[in-house]
Amino acid sequence: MLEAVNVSFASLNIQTLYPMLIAIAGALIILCIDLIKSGLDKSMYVMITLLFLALDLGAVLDFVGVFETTGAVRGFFDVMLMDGLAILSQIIMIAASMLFILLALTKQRFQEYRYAEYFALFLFMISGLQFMVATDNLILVFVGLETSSLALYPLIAMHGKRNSFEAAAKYFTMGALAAGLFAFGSMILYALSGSVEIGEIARTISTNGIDTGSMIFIIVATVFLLSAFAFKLGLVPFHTWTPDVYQGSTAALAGFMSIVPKLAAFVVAMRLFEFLMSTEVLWIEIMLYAIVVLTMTMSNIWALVQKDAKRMLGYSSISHAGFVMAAVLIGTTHANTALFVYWALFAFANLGAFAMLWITHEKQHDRESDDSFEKFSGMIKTSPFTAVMMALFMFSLAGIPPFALFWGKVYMLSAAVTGGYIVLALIMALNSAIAAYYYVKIIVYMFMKEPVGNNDYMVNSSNVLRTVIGTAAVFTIASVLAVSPLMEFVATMVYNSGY
Amino acid sequence: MEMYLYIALFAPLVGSLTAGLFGAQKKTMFTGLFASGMLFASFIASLLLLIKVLQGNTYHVEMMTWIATGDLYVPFGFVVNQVTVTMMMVVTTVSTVVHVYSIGYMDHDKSFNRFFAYLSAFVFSMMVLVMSDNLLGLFIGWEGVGVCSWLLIGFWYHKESATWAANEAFIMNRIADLAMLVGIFILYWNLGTLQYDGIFAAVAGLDHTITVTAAAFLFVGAMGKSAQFPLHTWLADAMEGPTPVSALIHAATMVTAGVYLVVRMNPMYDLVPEVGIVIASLGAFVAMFAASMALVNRDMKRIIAYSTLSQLGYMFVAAGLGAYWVALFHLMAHAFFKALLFLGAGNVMHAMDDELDPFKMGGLSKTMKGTFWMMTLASIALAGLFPFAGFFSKDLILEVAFVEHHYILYTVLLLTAGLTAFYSFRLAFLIFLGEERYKLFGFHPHEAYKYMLVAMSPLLVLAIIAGFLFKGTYYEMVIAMLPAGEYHVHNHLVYWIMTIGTQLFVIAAIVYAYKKYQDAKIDKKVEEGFFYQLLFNQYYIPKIYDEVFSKPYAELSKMMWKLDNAVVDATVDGIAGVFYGTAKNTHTMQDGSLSSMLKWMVVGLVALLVSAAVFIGIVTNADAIMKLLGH
Amino acid sequence: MIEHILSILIFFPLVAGVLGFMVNKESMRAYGIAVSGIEFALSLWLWYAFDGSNGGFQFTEMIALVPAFGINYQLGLDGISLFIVIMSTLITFIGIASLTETRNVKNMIITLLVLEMTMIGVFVTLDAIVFYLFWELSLVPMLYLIGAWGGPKRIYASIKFFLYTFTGSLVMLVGMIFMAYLYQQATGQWSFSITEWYRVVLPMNYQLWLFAAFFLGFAIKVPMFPFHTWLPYAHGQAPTIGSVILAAVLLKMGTYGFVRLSLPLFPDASVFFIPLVVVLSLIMIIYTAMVAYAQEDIKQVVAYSSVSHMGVIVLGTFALNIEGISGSIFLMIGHGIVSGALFLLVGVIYDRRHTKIMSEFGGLASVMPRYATIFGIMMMASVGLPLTINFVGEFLSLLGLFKVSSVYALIAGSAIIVGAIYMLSAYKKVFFGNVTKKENENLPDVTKTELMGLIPLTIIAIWLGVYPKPILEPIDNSVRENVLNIMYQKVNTEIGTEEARALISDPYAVKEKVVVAAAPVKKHAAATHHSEGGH
Repeated sequence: MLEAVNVSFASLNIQTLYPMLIAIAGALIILCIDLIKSGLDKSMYVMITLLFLALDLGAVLDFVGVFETTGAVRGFFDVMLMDGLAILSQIIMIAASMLFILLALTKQRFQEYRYAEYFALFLFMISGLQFMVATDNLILVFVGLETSSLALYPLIAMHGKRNSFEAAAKYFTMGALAAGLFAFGSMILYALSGSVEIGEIARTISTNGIDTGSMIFIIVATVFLLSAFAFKLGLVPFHTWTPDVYQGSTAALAGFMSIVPKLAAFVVAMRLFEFLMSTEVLWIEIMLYAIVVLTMTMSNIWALVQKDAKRMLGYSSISHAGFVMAAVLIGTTHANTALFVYWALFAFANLGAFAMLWITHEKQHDRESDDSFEKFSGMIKTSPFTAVMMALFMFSLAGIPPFALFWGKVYMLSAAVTGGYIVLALIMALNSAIAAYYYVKIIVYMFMKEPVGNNDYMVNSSNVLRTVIGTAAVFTIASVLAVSPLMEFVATMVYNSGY
Repeated sequence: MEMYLYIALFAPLVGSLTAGLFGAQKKTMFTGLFASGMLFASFIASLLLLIKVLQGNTYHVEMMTWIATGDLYVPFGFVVNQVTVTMMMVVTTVSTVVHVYSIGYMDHDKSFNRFFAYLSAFVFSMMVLVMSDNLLGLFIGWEGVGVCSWLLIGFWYHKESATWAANEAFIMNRIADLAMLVGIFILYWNLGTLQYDGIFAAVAGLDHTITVTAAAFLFVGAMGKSAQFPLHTWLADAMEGPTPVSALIHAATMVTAGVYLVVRMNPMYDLVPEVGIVIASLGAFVAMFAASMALVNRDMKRIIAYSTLSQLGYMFVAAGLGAYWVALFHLMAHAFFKALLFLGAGNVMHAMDDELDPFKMGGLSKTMKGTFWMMTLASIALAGLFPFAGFFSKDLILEVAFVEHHYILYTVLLLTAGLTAFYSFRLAFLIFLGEERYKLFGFHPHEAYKYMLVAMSPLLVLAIIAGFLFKGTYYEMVIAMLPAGEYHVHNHLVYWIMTIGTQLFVIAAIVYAYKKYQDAKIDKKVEEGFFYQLLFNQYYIPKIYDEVFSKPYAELSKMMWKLDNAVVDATVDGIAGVFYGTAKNTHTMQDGSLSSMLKWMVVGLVALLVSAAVFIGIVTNADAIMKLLGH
Repeated sequence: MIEHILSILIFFPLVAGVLGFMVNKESMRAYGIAVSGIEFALSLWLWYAFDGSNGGFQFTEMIALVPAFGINYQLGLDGISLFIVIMSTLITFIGIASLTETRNVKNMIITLLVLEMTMIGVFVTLDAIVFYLFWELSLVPMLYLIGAWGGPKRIYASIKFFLYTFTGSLVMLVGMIFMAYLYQQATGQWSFSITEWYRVVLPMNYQLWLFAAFFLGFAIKVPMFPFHTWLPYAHGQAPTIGSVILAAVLLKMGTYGFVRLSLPLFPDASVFFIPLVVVLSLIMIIYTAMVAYAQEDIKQVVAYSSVSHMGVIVLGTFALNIEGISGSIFLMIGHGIVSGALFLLVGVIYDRRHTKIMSEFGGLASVMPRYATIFGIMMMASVGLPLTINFVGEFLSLLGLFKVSSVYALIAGSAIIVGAIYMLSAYKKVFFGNVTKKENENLPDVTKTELMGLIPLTIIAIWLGVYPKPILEPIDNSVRENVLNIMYQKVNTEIGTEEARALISDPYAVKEKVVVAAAPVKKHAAATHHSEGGH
């Protein structure tokens, strides 16, 4: 005879779900509108999406105050976890998404924006990502992961070019494999601890202590989880999808992918490895170290020989991911703070860079690569302002002071130094030296070569796009002033959530 | 009186700058006159100062600070004392004469103005060198005269030989200057000052070896300027410059700077007799060595240059043996008659359209009486016959050597005296006596301008009287600063034998020269002879230097350059290349086919698993492995 | 206003540069001259307002930039930096004034102004990160200058220049961060303030590593052997103005870094590394001098010569005594003036003949007498003739080095020989002999515009050679206060090494001066010289 499960609604703490719910609601509403009257202009959908993202962001920001007063909030049968990491990552993700969605308002018409579904899917994806970060329950993470991924694939495909279909297909297949790995890894942990909540798992393991058997379990689990995240974050050698997918999708979407989903993955990785590292199994550290170094170095090296700007940026974002993964390896509060600071700054610089590609994007389906370096040659002569903007973002990505990413770099290096990873710090430094080469390469084309043909670089530009880029640029330049409050804010958030 | 000091010092500079303003224009007589006027002013000022000094005053002014840092304090300070005033007189006298002479000599040269700018600049530097109250100030002048000599040797810069000689002179002097700098460093770090007064006051308390090193290094510096062996080759080549330059710089003044340095630093050199001996011996050697080269040379100016070299040797002997006042005295006397000799040679060159080979001349005494007499008398003075200046100064050095019991030096110098007489009269006779060989070469000699001869006459007078007239007063004056010493042999018999013997020996040499060369027949047999060749090629030293230093240096430099590109730079590019190469070879793993992508993913997974397995294996069998390793 | 003079100096060119975008092409040159002129005037005012007797930092400013991380916008100026700043503004002014470039002048002038900002920033900032910021930023305009207005291989040259220096300075950045970390360990809070760092006494092993890290950054910039190979390319390809600024100012950043950071922060390490540094510098002096002698391109001769002279500067710095360091700083100024002028001069004939190969010339002395004269003066200054600016610096540097080791000084001194060799032979090739090429027969002599640039430099080169006091004095005070005193204090803690203590003496200790008596008149008794010659 079962006794009824009764839980007080209050204890559900349902507001932890508000942000995601808002996003989902937005998606549904968009679909309804489309049902009622199809063929509305994209601008309308863009604005609706924007509105809901704004609401979403508001809901998240609401938690900042809550967090500062009462600390991390659990909710919905303690599945949801609104701690500093969750809040921070959601803020960054949503902010970035808001900038991204505006990029849909191009001068040229692209077919994906004709479908309302595009925007619905987009919002679904956001909610999925939010779920990913706002929990320490592996199952929910999985759900979030899948929701977002499955929403993302069609977004890529909808661009409707041959190689975007191809990209989507590839991404999908490999994503499936990765999902399998993730599930398997979590299963092992469950087998080991009888729980799927990272916190629980950690506690059980530490209480039981680690004998050889459990160590083997942990290691094997790590192998699978690591592979899964390595895929999502595009760490070498699980990165192979990145360049193709980036090239297949629009510059804007590529930029988006290089930032937002990765951040979600980072947060989960941070949660996981926080405890995996705490098990003090040497192997895990070694492997992470190896992967970090491998990712930074190799992707940088490969980027050297790219002939297509978008591919190059693809590799560059891989290397940045590796750079940031170092923070997960180091694992100190300083490092975790650095991760968010870096990513926040990176978000703007990278979005800006991809937006520049987007703005110069010519709508030609015949050409395989539409962002070859030659396209940029002599830009300073034909359209100086665009060139300066592009250069700005390139320097920022290269970490030339005083532009945004320089501060991220300094902070990250300091994290490595304070964490006792001096050698790693040196490797990172030298890597950004290598990276400088391919960023400068574009600048060389733009500033030092003669123009070829009469490229109209602004084909795609509209006031909105210009605004977005302007925003990114301003932030990139003014980051000097922004970086200090940012650091402090992030530091408190991270510290108070115990990372 | 300070005003006179400043006039003496800066008048030449004013002259130089004024001339320099017109440097690029074509000849304006004004520059020549003005420069000469300035020089004359400087001369008068020096003269007045001399009188004052004779009355027993000395002057020391500090114009302003030059370098002051840490404990180093170097002012622009100038002194007029017994020694410096002597030098000032020599410099101003000769240079005034040379300036006036040059107005005539450079008459047809398109760079007339430039010439005077340089010449006066030289005099200024020389005055700084002489009058400075500290070693670094002296170094200013030291380098200054070096540059001016570079400019003036290379004055006809379109001539390859001239510019080459100029650079050679400058670089060789630089080598010596480095040694000089080191000497200065040593003194500074040990005495904390570069002022002469300070040095002299403290040097006595200095550790002996340090003093020796300092003295030695400074002397090496002196060797450079005074073209002592082995840094002598530049002097002969410097004859590429206009003859007045040779007269002023490469006979009378600049080349004697080395001697002056030793004399000026006498309190230090007094402390290190061992260095003195070295100096003296080197001097004696050079005296002989140079004279020997002069014997056979067929270039009028080079012969005189070698004789200068040899006379410098004499001076160093005196200075080395501590007879500083003697050295200085000979320096003065030599300045007069050697300058005279050169200017005479200048006249001859003018007459012969710059022909230098005395064997193509002969019988010029008919057309150029004045020059003939002047050069002959100068040669007599050089040979050191009574009562000419040379007799009093040069024979004195012989006596010094004798009195100081350095009989070897004495003999060497005595022989050299003979050689000197021989080659100088060989030259004189070849030029002025015998039949007029120049006709064969179609020269039409003519006497130089009157005023050039007039300009020369003061030197002539001095060359004759400087000895017996000035010696007494000079001695009385300088012993205020320089160690006194009446170098005379007390045993009268010996004294007279020596003196008369020397005179006879010299005369004999002259007679022999006359016998051999009045008809200028060239003895083929001798010329083929080894010794003749050896001397004629200056002991092959220039050749050797060229082979041993110049060429290898050039070669080495080329190699270095190749090295720089092929090794140093290649390494850098190589490192960059490694990265790029790796990329080129590995980025193909990104071939875009889904299967290979999945493959890579699996590869990664497997790699992780394997490493995990290995790790676990190690950990679980840790103790077993330990055993294996034998712990 | 005077208390913010440094900020004004830094940002005036930047603002002006940005506004420059709106100036129309034709009047851009005038605009550039005006702006850089004002900037120069400001820097002179700085000198006027500067208290030379005070060795400490003046006109200090402090704005918290990233307080959480101890990064401040901290400025300050002392005798060491003052004259380098003035030199920078002067060179920029003259460079722009005598600009002969015609392609795309607008961008060039804007670039130059931005470059000027970065240069001044480097020299007046007292915060490591801000220092690094300007240090790195200075690469960008230079990259553009070389890459956009350079010769045929300009892109290779510019990228090489950029990456090479960038790599070095990144290592330095890690060093800086580590230094800040150590400071944080010591005091509990982050700080990148150099003046704060001055207070930290580091254990030897840290000093060694940090010195190495900083050294790499500076050495590449100087550039020291064997890191110098980017320079010939950069100079070879850069436009005249680029070479002028590169040689005159940018290279000084490296040596300035040594004085400002390496020595006071790591005194024991500096002493420890003297042999290495000195040997590298000696190689640098002689080796590059020989390479210069082998060049066929006059500009390369000047380029290598400037490397060779930088060697002397480094030596003076590492003499670690007042004479040496003051000398080396003075030589930085001198080198700036002289090599700047030499590159301008090379530009003159390049503009006329569009070649820099010496064999293309010869006999120019008769064709362009004024040009030959100025070149001659500058050459003599370059070979360190007394009464020219370089002699003072070179002499003092070598003098200082002699205290460390006479052998080092002797070898280093050969600089004055080898220097003379390549310079004179180059001069001979270009100016002496007969005019062989027809094109050279009627080359115009230096124009008014060119003289506007050259005459002032010539005057300065001589003026400071004759009367260095006004510059030497403030430098002297600051070297005592901000370099040697700090080093002395540090090496005399229990951590300091014996060698360091032996070498670094108290800069404020009053040496007992040698009592200068009147020159003693040593009279030998005449009798001592008598002899009984004969029997």
